[in-house]
Amino acid sequence: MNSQHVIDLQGIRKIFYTEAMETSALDDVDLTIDRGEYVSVSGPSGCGKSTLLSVMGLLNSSTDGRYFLNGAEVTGLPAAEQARVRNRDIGFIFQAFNLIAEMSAFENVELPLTFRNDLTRKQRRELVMAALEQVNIPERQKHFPTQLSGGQQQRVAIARALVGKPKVLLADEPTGNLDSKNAQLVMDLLDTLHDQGSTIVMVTHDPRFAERAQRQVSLFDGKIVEDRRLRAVAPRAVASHA
Amino acid sequence: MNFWFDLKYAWRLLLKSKGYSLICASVVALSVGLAVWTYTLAYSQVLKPLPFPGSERWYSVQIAADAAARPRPSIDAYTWQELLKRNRSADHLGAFARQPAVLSEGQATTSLRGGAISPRLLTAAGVAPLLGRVFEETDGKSEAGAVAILSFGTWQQYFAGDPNIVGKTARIDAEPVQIIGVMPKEFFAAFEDFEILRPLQVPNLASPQESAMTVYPLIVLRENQEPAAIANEMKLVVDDVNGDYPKLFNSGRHVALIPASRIFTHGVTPIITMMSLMAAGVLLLGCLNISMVFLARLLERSRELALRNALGASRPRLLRQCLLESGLVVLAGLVGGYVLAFLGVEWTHTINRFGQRILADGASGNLPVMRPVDIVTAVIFATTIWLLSTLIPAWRVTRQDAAVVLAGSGKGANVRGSNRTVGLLVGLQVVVSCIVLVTCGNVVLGIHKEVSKPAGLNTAQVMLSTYPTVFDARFSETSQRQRYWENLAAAIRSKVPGSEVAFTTAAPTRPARVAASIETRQGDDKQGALTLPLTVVSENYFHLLDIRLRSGRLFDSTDNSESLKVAVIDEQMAARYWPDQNVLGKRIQLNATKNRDWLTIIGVVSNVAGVPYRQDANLGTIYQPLRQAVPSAFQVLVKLPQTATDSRVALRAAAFAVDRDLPLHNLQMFDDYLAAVNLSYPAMVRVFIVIALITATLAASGLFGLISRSVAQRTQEVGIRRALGATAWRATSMFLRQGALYLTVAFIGLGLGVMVLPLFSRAFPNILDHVIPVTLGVVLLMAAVISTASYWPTRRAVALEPGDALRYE
Repeated sequence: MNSQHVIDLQGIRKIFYTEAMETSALDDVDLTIDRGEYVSVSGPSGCGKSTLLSVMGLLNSSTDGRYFLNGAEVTGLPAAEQARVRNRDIGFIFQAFNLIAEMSAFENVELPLTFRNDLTRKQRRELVMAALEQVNIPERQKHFPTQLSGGQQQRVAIARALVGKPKVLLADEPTGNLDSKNAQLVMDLLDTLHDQGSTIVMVTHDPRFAERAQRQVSLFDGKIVEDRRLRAVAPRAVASHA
Repeated sequence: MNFWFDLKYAWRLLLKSKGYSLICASVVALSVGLAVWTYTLAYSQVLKPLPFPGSERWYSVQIAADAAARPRPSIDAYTWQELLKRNRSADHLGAFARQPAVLSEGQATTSLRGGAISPRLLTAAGVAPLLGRVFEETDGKSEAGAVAILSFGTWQQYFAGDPNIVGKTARIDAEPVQIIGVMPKEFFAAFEDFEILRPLQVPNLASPQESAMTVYPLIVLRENQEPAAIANEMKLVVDDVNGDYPKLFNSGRHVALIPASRIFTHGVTPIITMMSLMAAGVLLLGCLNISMVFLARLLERSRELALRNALGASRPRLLRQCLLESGLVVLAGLVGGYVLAFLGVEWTHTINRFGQRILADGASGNLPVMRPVDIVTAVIFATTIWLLSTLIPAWRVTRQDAAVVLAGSGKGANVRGSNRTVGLLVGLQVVVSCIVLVTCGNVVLGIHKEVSKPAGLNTAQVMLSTYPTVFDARFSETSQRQRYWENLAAAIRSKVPGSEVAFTTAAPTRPARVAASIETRQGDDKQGALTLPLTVVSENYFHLLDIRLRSGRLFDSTDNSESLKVAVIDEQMAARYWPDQNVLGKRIQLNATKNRDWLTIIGVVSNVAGVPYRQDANLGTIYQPLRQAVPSAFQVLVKLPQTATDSRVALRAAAFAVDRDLPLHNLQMFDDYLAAVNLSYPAMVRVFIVIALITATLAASGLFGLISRSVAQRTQEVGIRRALGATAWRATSMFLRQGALYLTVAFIGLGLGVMVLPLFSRAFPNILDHVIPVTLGVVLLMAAVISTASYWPTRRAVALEPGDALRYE
């Protein structure tokens, strides 16, 4: 496989089973994403966008198929190894922010670093502050989620996704719970991150935001029905990330 | 109409989740059942008034033998006589005394529970006789002809309900006695279930040694009189008597006035208080459990309630809906609780029936009964649970912003507050459970240790007359009594071949206490204050009961009125008063006897355990030979041959053959007797075990429910953490750490429980004996409950894939 590929999905299928029926959420999906790419995934409700992102993020396992992350196969990894991959290689941004209410902004961002044993407290602090500064919210570090606006909460969530310097950022409808002004700010932030070299996969159903990516993948009934490149990958960004 | 609509919906919801409804109703039933049963017990033992007009002003005059002793309702006749003479401010109603009677009719002799009562006391009770009249003052005078009043039962059973019984004469204690009245059916249970009453006659005593009689005195307070003031006046009289007879009475002997309704149950007040506190703890646990379950359920339904609000339902209407649903559950629990309480009362009666059958002590006025008013009590307890457990959660849920709830966004504020509430409730539940479990555990082990002490007797095949047979005037000479015992022993051996017969003045486990001095302490002014357990026994008593000789010799036929007065003591007494000495040849003086006899110790025997928690258990026992003491009353012990079964008829026939007016009272197998006198302790063990089990169950189910809910609420958080790279074990350990925090709270409960224990040491002196193992046991139990309650629900949350956990609702 190509060493440029950060994500390489081969024949991925995902079936949800309930008592009465089974539902195919992803059906034979093949997808590769290169380092530094900014990909949007779009499609109607229930087409499998979020499921695809969950499989990419090792939040859900696929029923069938193979998944290579950064050149290494991660299909069927033991749970502990999957956790390690999620912690170091993947950064998540959720629609509902998913901040922990009892933790301050700083603690929320620090949380993924506490799952690693190779950082001192001081190093953790430096990384957290850098991430908060990157999303322009260092002054709110002591605030709890209930004391922040939606936009601020999402910026904290992005800082949390960035703090471990992951190989890929997975964003699931990052603007879904935000007003237009805050949504615009978050999208600008993602653009900036991409310019700085981040690989981003973003699920969105908003065509305006989908078109801000370099590449747009469309899903329908669990299948990729369109995969079109909107812009070329910026060489500066690839070099910067490398 | 709206009400029925809401009711129908509430009913449908309960049917939909049958398991939840059943668990909630069971928790309410257990809590209410225990509370109502405890209340009926407390009412019957300490709260129930006497059925006499104005009896709330009646007080029992009780005496404690020394400064530390518990007051007893019976006092010696001399002290009472002095109180009557010298304490003018108290209005003395009189007294009653136990005076067994022997009714002889034709070829039958019957022992009756007899009582002697002051005429005024009977009149003051205000109960009209069914037939004839009650006593008059002249009836109590010694020169008046002997008269008696029959109980309803005696009249029916022994006189066939003869309507013309008044004026007739019956042969009682070998003398003709005129029957002057019959009391109504329910009368005697208020104090004692006497079968026959005679007027109380106390001779004018010059000194306490002149009479061994004890009486139960009662006074009535006049207007503006306080019991404490009267008790202070009486104290002066008792102090004088103590000072006049320092060898008979301890200088710390003091008087106490106890409400007459608690004349016999005053001593159980600490135990009842303890049980009530435990029941209150269980009730509180029930409230907490139900409260949390309702809160969880209402939070689950917060969207539905918000929708109702959005559709125009007012907050009172929403509250009513919540209350209706929980009300149905509580109603089911109330019915179950009342049934449980009823079964508990029936169980109490079953136990009492056994004791009553063996001890033949008649009906008790203090047995718990389910009264119609107890339904109200049950309703009050259930309503308390209902309102406490529903109003607060319902109020919280109905206060939510409907728009926010329906939009599905609370910014986590609700979760934060809810987690704090859960933490608080779990902490409270852990603390209360620990207090109840520590107390129950220590009581159970303490009682078990006390009742498991080896008796020091071989009671197999031994039969005992549980009440003394009292010699009447025909046996004033000691030689007549000696002859009677020889004849009786021979008659019994003849009727029951192979049997062995012994005589005693008290049951082996209950020696009477007498004032005594010990030779080694001569010269000490306070020595006469000693009151030591004494039993007069025949020579073969030790052999019959397998009490072992440790040193010296046992009694034999040469120990008679002509020889040196001797005594045998047990090892406990030897070790207490003559530590590391040879006690043989040492002497004890009996101060209560006319001649203040000195007894020389000739032998030491093995110990016999007394009744549980006997205050004088560590004093040991003095044994005096029957041939020297020649007591005026005796009990018989018969060791039956292995082949013999029930020999009561043969023994009664033997006694009848020797003297028809001296029957053997209430013959019982010794093992049954011991079981009956100690009856309350195994029963208490069972009650406290049940309380502990209910508490453990409520604690386990409550903690499991609360922590499960907390975990379920944090399942999304588990998903977030795992999405960020936390391993399954890290996510699990987050909840286990929380469990460890709850366990830390358990130590507060344990500490409080241990601090509470000394409050009950008067009722259970050995309550602290097992404090360390019990505390450790409770720690282990709580650790097991908390870790299981933390681990299992967490395991379920962690078993979800992170993506599923994130979507969990």
